[in-house]
Amino acid sequence: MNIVDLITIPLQYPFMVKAIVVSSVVGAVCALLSCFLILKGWSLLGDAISHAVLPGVVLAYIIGIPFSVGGFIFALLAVLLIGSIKTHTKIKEDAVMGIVFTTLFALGLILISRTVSSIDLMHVLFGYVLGISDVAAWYTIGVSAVVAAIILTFRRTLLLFCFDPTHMQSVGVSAKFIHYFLLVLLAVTITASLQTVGIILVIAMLITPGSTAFLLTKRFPVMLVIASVVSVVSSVVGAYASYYLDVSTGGAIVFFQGCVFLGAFAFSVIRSHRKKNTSVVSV
Amino acid sequence: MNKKIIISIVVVAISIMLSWVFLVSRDADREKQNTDTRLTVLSTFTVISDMVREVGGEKVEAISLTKPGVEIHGYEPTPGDLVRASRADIIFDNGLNLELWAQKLYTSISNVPHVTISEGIEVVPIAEGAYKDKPNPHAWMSPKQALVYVENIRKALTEVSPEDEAYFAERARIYSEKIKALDIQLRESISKIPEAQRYLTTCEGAFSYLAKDYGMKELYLWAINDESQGSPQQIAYVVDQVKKNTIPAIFCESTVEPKIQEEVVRESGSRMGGVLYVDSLSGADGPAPTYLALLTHTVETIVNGLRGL
Amino acid sequence: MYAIELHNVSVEYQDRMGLENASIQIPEGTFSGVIGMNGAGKSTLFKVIMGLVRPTSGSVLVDQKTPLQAQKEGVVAYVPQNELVDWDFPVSVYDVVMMGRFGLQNIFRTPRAEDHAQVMNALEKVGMKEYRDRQIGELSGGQKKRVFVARALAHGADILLLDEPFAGVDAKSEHALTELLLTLKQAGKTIILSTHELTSLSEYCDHVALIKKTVVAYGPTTEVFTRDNVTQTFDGAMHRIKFSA
Repeated sequence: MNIVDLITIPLQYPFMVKAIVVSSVVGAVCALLSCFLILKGWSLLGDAISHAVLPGVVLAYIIGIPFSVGGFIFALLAVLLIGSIKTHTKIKEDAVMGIVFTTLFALGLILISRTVSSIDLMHVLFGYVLGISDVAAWYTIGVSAVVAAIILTFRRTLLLFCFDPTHMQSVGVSAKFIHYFLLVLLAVTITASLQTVGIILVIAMLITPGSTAFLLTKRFPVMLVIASVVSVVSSVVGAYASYYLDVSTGGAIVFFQGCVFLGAFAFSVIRSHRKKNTSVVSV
Repeated sequence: MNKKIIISIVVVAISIMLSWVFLVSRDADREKQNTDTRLTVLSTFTVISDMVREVGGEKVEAISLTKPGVEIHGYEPTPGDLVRASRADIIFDNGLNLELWAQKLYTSISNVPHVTISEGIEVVPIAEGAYKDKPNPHAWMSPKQALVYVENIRKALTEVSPEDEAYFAERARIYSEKIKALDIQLRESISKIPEAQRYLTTCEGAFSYLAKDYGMKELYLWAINDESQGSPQQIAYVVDQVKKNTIPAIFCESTVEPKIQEEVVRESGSRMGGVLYVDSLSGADGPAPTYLALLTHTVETIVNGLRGL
Repeated sequence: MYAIELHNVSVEYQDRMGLENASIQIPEGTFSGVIGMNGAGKSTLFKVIMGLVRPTSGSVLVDQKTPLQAQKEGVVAYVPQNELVDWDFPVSVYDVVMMGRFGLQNIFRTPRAEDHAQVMNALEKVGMKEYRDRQIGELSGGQKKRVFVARALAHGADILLLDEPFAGVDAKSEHALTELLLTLKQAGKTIILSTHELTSLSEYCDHVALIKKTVVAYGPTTEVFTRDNVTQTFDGAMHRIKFSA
């Protein structure tokens, strides 16, 4: 078997093509977001929002509206709750996030146990990369493209917000507005991708690529590029590996991402070690 | 000293990558073209697959998507499963909300026909919980309903391969006779349990059809494996009932972690009567390698447990 | 003309008072030192001037305008405390100074030729031009400060607020920084800095504000920076300080 076959064989199957394309697109937009999230110290927020949408999904099912709408409403609710509890108490933000998302997730579990449904609502969160319908694929790709375009257009504003919101406010741009603007982008991305690629993949994609890129560069534009490339490559390699090894596709993608991070970590340790040695010599 | 850590990290990373590449190439070699002329019939789980093997004989290659011993309610198909599914001539599922993931499978593979083989059975509804009044999916646990399954399989196979109509019909007839014979045998062994002791206490409410057929009363921790925890009230109810009726043995299924049932044992003073097979066959060397063996072994375990043998 | 005017300003937080009935009038083109103990209200005073905190009562004028109007016109620039900046952030010296142009750019914040020119100009003034491509964490304490002063210059602000600029800065860099600030004062900027460093305050500050929940005293250093006033502000005796009277 030659290398061309190795690449083209999985592509004969539409489900593989969709899995690769959708997880790459979601991976790219999540990677962009992850750069801002890890710099702002909001990494856990992706995790929190992903879980907090559960009651929204169940209620959406009961009322009969699309899952993403219900999920989105609860994502916003979670964000507002976290924000207001944090400003009115001295409890640290990570604890507040933990309280809010577990409570909302639990509400979701309670609602599920009281809802008669012909589908497994819990599994909406565990979207299945290999079972993406065409409609869902286009929806996710469309939303991701819009979010990515917005992030790239306003990247300088978002960066300043992460770096120095006080300065931003002092020149008359509302830091609070940008705060919620970024949160809404995050909520939209999560609700649009949960159903297709699933919760584990979304959480990992919102943290790992940005962290990997952070280890490798000190330039923000480069960081955006590295994060996106790492994320897309992980999606593609992970999907291929899952095909040939016959293992869970989402699992393979996340695992590969983790391996890349580990590689970047080793590289950065070696680099700083070497730098230290040479600087000692030069003195 | 720091160097050692770095080197070990690098070694681990490289070996992960290498083993990955190695596995990929090895798996790639294994791919071979199928020159077989048999029908490829994919079933969602081992029980159906065994029935297909019986009806289809040497004219079909019966494959099960889930392996023996795997929990089928919440399964997630791998890419390999999807590849096998897309090469199949026909896919059989149980339906009745048993394998909800099959719908996701059909989203990915729209060009392979699929048949729900529980079509036309006498449905027993789920009695309680979130899925109340929905059909209980475990209809194959009644030999009587299994005959409907066999008939559906025969029809579907005949449709795909009309030239083998007579062959399938003959095999289906023989298989149905065996099932009917087993039905009589099972009824007889259950009748040996004193009537007051005929309580079938399990983890999942998967035995409604069996209990109904053979006049047993049913107790279970949860109605269907999707919720998989059992509400506190339900567990308390089971404990009370087991105590009140001094039920000598309670059971759990092969695909379920028996932790809660062990708790019921501790609280009620009953004992674990053994492992029942329902959602999955065992491996070839296990006690339930075929559907008929599954029924025989499960009923035997129940009877032995309740008679205190 | 006054750069800053506060009349009877009180700020009430949820659990405590930030400022109580504070009044101060800071003339344009002066160099004022704001001193007081931790929690005395120095940060609150700065926030009020920047329009980040709205007073519960009293009135504030910044360059004859409301703080919000002054924000929009970019009148005030702020140099944060070293410890409030994330020095690992992946931005270069040049990037940070470019942030000074933020309020003057269009909504996409795309730098134009004018912006680049102003950034280089500001870097030149603070003597940080050759460090422009460094990541901000790779600078000494004094250099870090100068980058943020350059940001304020790129911003074109007339009023500079510096929060504890001498914390974590060695004596030599401190001297260089005050020289820089004095040059800016000469150019007509109003400089206001908060500090714990009382020893050499009188050498560069022409005005001093003593803060203890309110403005205890404000005026030319020679008149206000007295042992009595400082003792009252700091609840105790101060050593090694060169007082004016």
